[in-house]
Amino acid sequence: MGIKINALKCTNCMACEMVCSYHRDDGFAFLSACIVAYRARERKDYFGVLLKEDDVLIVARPEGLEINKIGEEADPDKEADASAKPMLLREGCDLCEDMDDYGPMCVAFCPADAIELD
Amino acid sequence: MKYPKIGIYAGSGTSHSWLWFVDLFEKAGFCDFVFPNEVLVRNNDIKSLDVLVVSGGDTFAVAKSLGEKGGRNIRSFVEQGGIYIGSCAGAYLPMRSSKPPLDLFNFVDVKITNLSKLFPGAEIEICKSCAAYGYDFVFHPVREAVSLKTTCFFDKDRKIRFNAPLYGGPGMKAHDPSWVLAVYEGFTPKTSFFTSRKIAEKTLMGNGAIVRVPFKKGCFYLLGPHLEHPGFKQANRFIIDAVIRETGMAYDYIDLKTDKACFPAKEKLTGKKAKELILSIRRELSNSRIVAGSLEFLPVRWLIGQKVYEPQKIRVYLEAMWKRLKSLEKNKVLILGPGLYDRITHAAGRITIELRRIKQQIDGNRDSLKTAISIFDLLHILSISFFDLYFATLSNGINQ
Amino acid sequence: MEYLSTDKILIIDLNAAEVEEEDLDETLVKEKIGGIGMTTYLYDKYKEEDPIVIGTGLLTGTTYPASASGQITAKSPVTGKVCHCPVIYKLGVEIKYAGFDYIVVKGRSESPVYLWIHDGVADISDAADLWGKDVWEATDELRKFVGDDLLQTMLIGPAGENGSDYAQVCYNHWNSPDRFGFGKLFGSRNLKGFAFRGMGLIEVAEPEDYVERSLEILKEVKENKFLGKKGLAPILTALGEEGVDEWIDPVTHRHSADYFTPYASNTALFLDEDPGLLEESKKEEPGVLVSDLYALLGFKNSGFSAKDAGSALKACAKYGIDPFAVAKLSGKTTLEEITASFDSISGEITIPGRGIFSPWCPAGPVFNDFGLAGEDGTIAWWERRQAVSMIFGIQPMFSLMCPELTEENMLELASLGTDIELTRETLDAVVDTILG
Repeated sequence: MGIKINALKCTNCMACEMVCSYHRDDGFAFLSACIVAYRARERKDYFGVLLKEDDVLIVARPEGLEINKIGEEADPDKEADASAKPMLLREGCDLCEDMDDYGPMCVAFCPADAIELD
Repeated sequence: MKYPKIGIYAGSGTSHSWLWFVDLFEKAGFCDFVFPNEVLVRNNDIKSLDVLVVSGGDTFAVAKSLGEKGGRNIRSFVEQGGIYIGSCAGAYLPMRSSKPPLDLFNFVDVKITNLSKLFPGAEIEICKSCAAYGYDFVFHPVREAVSLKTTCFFDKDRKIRFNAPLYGGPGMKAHDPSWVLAVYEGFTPKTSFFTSRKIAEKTLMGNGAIVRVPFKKGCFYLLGPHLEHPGFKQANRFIIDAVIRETGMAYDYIDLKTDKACFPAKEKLTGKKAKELILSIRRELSNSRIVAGSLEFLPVRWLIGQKVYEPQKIRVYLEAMWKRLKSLEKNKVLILGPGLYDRITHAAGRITIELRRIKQQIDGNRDSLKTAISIFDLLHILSISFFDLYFATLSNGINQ
Repeated sequence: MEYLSTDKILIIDLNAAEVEEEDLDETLVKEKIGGIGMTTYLYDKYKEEDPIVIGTGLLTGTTYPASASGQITAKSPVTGKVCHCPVIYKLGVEIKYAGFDYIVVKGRSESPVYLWIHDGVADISDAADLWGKDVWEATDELRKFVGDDLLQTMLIGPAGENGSDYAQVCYNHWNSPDRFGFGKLFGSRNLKGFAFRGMGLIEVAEPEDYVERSLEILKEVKENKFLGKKGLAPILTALGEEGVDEWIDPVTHRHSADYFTPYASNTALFLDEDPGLLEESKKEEPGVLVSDLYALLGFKNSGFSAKDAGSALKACAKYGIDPFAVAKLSGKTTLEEITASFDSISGEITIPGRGIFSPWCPAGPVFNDFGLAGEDGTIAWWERRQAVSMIFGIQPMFSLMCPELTEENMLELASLGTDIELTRETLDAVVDTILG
């Protein structure tokens, strides 16, 4: 079981990031989320979702899904972007195992139904 | 109640794992800390300590920076009743080695089991992660959480099992089996293998993970895995219990100590000056956190000495200070050693500048190694200074 | 004020180049709730100094659906009235997480400055190098300097510096709902604008109940059929405009939403790039993000192609001028004429009702009828809806679409979040004060 992201449905609203962080912090914040609405290329209208699992980083781009093993060497020729291996210090997705009433919070709260349980 | 005075080595060669020890001891209620660097160790400013912690990092760099004098002082510290706790790199340091400068620290008769010479060359070729060590090399068969089990020499009536992460620390064989307090017992679903499972098992299973070596009046605790890692509560408890047990045994010794004046006298800062210092720390930590947060998304890492540093480690330092800022702000009186004000404001400001510089270097595909070295040096300086300020101020608040 | 709040009000005196902080008193929240309830109070408190007051709503940046909005409250140099401009995209949330619920800016700086607000720190910074730069250049330069592409800006461009009546305060690279000439106001204070970034944490009094109720409300919202749509075109179509889809489709790239807002009301137009491109464009400036319905419509009605309309909107965003005023008042029909006319735009635009809320929002319901009948009633409803949205921090366009976001559940969540009992009577009193 895991999280499935459809980047083309995503509207970059950051709901997933907020509720994921809430699940870890019990307050409203963004810094501990293992799912991040990628938005650093605002001027190019390029956005997607990054999800850190225990040993992989899932990069849901509009053009398709990319799965990177965390700890592998980064490609030095590749421009710094969502394919980077970020968030090493954040905890991996635990599917919100302690949130019995909800299941994964990002799935429950995504207004665009872009995130589903696979 | 008398708290032991704990020195957490934060000099050259250490990685960020010394910050985990700060968290660990602070959460357990200890409050008397110093953060010696290599100069203070060489000057023997550790002699007033009850416990000296040397955490993870680059063993060679630690040994080189401490040098002969540092080695002599650590030896004398333990001989006189001090407790040395070495985790990962800090565990390798006092073991026997023929390779300079490690040969300055040949204190304990404990052997490393993750040495290449113990295995046929063909099998070891698959090793992905290793470092030269004397005429052989140390290899790291696994990473992440492994399972440990205490021995009858820790408690003859019951065995305790717990997990702790291994990030390059040793498997150990002690000259005297009774020194081994816990052995590697198994792997966990989170264990990543860097050799075949067979080699990993042969290297670690049944061998020492926690070793206590008595040394005249004191002792060396050698921890293969990072028991201080914040995600492993039971392992954390093991360290705390050990410190309580050992310093309890040594209370007579502690009470007899009079030489508390090794660390310089402190002064008080109040009113507008105190507010300005806190604001200045907040400003620069915030500026630095903002850049460090954006560095999280960049594909870069630096080889400094023999250790690989990722940008994420910058945030570990910054967050360690940031999360303590609110407690510090509540104190109307700040306690500072001589020169600390300038050292903090200077280092904090420089870190912002260097982080902004490195972001531009990475964005522009330019070499950033020199800047990274400078940043990690500055982070060390700032965090040592910050913790000096923080613990001195909090102790002052508690005592008033 | 412990919950749903940073507990801080920032007072900036540009004359003296000094910043000061005040605690946000809980009794004030009991009386004024938040958002424009509080910015109106702060404006009145510092009225003699004609302040610019920035704020966020009580629910801004939480799990309540569409809790995206902040506000600028100030006296419009165009209308002379104290007006409220919504802060949209992700900027409203960033303001709160940067460490201040409210920011009062008094006086005029001797030389150009910008205000760098981060993690509870406010720095008055020299803007000599930014003055003269357009909104895009200044935003890019600030992001580069601070080292973070997620920095959120609220800046003026040359229009504000030159004192144009319809100079607009822009958000990041994009146009904003500012129809009040607040850009001119910023310029007159030698204030290039604000940069915000925050990594704070907002505490909530009853976190489990708050989040549970948020999800229940979101589920109700998602039952509403309009959520199958995206972007500006369906809104214009719902308002009775014809042929919008055919006109805009050839340049439409993707649609994005403001923070936690279920309807993606921002449409990106690709002008110099294939709109069907899914990969990241290699071009530095492939297009423009549009949130302004009526500016887009204004250019359409002036006979512009969608691509030229997009180019005009991009030029307006860079120059920092209200694109609706340009479309309506310039009388120009080509892109070249439009850009040449920026400094000479004058005339009046109609602002419905009391003239204190931005007509960037349609002056009535969208997609759903909210059970309304008759124009007089509609404007009164619209004004109350805008006021309530901006008290709680709800994206004000979305609140016109979504009847499931009720005053009752806003009050309920505010009470759950703060542990303060907030009643309809209090809300009525706050709205009455705002509407005068």
